[in-house]
Amino acid sequence: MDLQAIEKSATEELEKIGDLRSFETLYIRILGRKDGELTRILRSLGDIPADQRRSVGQEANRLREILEEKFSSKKNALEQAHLTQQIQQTDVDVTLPGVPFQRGVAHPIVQTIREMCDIFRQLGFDVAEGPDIETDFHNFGALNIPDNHPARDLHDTFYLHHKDNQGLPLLLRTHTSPVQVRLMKSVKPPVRMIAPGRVYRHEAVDATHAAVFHQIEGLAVDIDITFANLKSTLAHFAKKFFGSETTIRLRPGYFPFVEPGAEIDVLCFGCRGGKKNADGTRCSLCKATGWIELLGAGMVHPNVFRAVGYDPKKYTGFAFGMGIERVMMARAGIRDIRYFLESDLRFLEQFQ
Amino acid sequence: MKILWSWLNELIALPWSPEETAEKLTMLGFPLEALRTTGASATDVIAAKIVTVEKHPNADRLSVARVHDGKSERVVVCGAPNIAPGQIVPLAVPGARLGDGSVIQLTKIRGVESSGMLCSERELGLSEDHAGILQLPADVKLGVDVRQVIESETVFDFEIPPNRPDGLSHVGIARELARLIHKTIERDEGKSEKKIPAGYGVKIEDKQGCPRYIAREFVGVRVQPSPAWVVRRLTHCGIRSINNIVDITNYVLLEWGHPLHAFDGERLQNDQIIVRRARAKESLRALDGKIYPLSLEDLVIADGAVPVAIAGIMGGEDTGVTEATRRIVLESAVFDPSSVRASSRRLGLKSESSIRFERGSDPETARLASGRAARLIAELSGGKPKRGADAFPSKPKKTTIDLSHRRVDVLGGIALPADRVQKLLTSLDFSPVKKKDGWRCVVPFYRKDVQSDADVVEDIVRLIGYDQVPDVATRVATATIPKELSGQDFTAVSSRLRGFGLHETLSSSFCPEEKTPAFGFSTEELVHVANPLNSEEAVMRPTLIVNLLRAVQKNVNQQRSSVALFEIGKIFSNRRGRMNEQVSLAMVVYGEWRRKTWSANAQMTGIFHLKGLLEGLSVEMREPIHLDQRRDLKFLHPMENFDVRSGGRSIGWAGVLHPSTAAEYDLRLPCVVAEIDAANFGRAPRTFAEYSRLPFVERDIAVVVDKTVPWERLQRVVWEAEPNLLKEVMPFDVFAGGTLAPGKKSVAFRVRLQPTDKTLTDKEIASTTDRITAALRHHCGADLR
Repeated sequence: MDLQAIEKSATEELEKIGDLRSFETLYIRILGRKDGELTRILRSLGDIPADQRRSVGQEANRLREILEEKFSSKKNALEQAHLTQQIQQTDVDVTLPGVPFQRGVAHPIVQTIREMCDIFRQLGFDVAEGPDIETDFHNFGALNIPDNHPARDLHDTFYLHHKDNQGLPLLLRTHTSPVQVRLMKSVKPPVRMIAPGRVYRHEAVDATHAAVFHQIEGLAVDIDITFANLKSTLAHFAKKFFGSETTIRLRPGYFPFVEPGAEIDVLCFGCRGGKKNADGTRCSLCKATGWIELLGAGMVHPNVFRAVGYDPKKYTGFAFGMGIERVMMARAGIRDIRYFLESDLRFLEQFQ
Repeated sequence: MKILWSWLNELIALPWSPEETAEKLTMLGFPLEALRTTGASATDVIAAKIVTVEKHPNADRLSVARVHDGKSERVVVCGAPNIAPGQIVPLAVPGARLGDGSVIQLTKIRGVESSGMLCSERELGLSEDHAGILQLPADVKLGVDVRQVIESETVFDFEIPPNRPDGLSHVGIARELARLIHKTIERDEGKSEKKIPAGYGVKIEDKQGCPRYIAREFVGVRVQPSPAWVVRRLTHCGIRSINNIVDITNYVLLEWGHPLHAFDGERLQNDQIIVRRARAKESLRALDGKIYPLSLEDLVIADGAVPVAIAGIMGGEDTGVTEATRRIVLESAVFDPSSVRASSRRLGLKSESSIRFERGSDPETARLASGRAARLIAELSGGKPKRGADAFPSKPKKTTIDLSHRRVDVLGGIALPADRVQKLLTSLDFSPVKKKDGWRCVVPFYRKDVQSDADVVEDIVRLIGYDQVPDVATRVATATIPKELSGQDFTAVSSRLRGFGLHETLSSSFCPEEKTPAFGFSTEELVHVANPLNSEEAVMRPTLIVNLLRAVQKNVNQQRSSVALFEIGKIFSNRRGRMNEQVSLAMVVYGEWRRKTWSANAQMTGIFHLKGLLEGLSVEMREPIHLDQRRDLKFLHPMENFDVRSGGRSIGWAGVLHPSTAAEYDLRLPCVVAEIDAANFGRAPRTFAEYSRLPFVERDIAVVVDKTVPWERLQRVVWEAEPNLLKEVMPFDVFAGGTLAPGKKSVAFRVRLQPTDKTLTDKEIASTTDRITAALRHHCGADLR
């Protein structure tokens, strides 16, 4: 076979080939190392008369280069086509859901406590914790709520059968304020504390009342701590927690362990203080007052300082306490306080 | 406390609307709870007089009344128990529209035709009161529309803080408002009947219990229904009209905040009042009809013989004012707050009177209230004052408080010039006397709550407005929380478990006692609540697992096939009389660990998921967790459980819940549980060890051993055989049966060898694996497969 015939047939056949297998067969037939038509010619150059050898050799090698080039580009094209075909064959329904990677949720109360503690930590407050089972002294007596004081009516209390060393029954703390007493009894001023924890009220449970819930307590004592400092601290907290456009309002409030005492309201985040919803109806979040009751606060009562052994003439301080569920309910739109301790996944899973 | 707009304006003319007034009071510390304008909204309801009342022939609870509406008589069927001939009542005639919008029609009720209906307050749209038919004043003309009789009124409901008993009155609220407009209230102290006659026998045996007792005797009293304006005001304030005398005591209570009581003078033996503690075995039938056994600590009012009232709480039925009463003795006294409170709690009896005495009353208001009532008795009952008494054994000293200007600055947080403070103090009735650096203040008689300079400062700031206090940032000063009060931070632990897919939850601190024995708790170890809300919540939880399993049960009942929860919280125990509380961590994984999806099969939870969770948690602990021993706990599967050990001691348990325990919580799918003492959490700062940059080599080894040889022993032998190069030993196939001899199992594992100084040669690798297999043969009787 002469070189021209090989070139012609190889080129024509290569043109027609559509799959890699036939490509391989053709390649072996023409350029195969053992028995390829062109290989044979190249290998038999020795048999050719010497005067023709050079030109035939040159011609054959040129043809080999050309064919190798053609085969190579054909191979690339075929591989590309094959890959494309393969990719198309593996086409999947991308609308199917992904493999789930599920992370558990933190309980909303725990999340909120963490968030609040972080805000106060930035202001130099340190986190403290006290026991749930308390003595009458820590929960009431030291906080200027002596026995038979009407303020005890505000604290329906769970008692244990066991008595403390004063002979008074142990109780489940009705607020986190006893942590104030414990801290002040063990360290000297300056004091700056934040104390989250669980509290108990002996109350019929309904949508807005729980027997077991959580509070966070704050306390700052030093020389010359003022009522204006209290306001500044809580205004800062409100802006961090509810957003920078929030404002707070102080109004007089009664708590036996502070004087002056204040109720702190935060601008209603439903109506922004406008008392009405966008559609003109009454804002139910704030009961159309424009404000949401946030917490109780005040200047530490001199009697509390006396009870813990601080000199009320030398030191002043502020304290505040806030119900975590209540704040959460207002911020997250939760209508029933009972959700918090029911472990219902339909509730918990919403706090991812 | 309900406050009426009309009453307030009678005491002081206010320049504000009711809404503005409520806002002022809210900012003064008396937050508004409700504000509504009332008035009968029902139409075609007229005043009618009851002529006769008879029992319904076909119904026990109904009666048939004949009523006269001014023109004619009608027959109406009525279900209320409080109707009697002679009463003037609201009658809804057919066609009348009631407060709730319903329309009255002519109907037959159990065979008797009723041409109308007698109305309660609720049916008139006046209030929510539906206890009985509303009684209209006796002087109302029959046939008039009741809307003319019951005028509209704006009623505020304010929350009064417990330290401000003076706020439980119209005068008290008016005083607060008067200051804002620089006025004093009209009909203030002084104008009332000042002189208290003498001659009535009053003896105070317990001076501490009763610092003052004023008695006024009236003769020629006509007990009759009160005039409309009295009934109206009482009704709006939520008090039912009884008769003119009782109504006057209530009227003065609402106006002055001081409780009064009227006795039938004829029924007081020896014309005598003695204030004393109750004697043994004494009791009293009170005005509510109940008999109260009295104890020696109860303060009582007695006549010459027996107790006639529980001091400050409630009068006796026998000496109460009735229509037959002609002579009364009016009491206006001051009783010790804690004594009243203690008795009220002991007897389980609260009243408008006890609520106020508990919060503190004062002798001066007692005098003013007595005088005001005396005038009303003369006006409304024709009673003539006769004898009286003012037993006032120990006149209280005026309380004075020294206030420094600096305290105003600091506690008030606001800098005020001295003359401004002086003016504010004067306006607050503190009669300030200027002294060096401050003032001497005299506490006004009606402000029992003011006891320290801080109280005075609060009043000053209240008057200028809390909104005037500026924002001033605190100086930075940090105190360290002592160890006993610094709680643990569980953020990292919680985050890790959530990363594993468990949800965090919180449950109640209480748990049902009957659920605890299954977890090994005896009743002596539990912390019992003396006054539980219900039997389900009678003990403090001694473990978290009970509430956690109840949580799983609840979720399973809501069609969940997988629940994975953990809780970090306190558990409580009674350690020989010492109440102990400690933080615990419990977890539960129920049902499917992984749900079936289109790309993977479902996987049920099992013991090794639990082990993996705990091993994963191990890095958050002070010392690593070991899980290679079992425990004998009856609520866990006897084979599939672990003792959780750390630092050489047991810190908890873990395992598959015993099927019979699981059944108690309706758990039909596999459930694994664990609880450990959270005190063991707390990771040390991490340190770094240089790692090898050379390639590692892995080899698989399979051996056959007795089934009784645990993996733990095999891997220990492997580690001991090659402690230097070995980096990891991981079993990947364990099986028995098939071609293996009975009692044998095959264990295949992969070892990873990590050189540190030079790459391993084939020879070194072979000699290492040979050493490992030889050691296994020698120590564990293992044959190479």
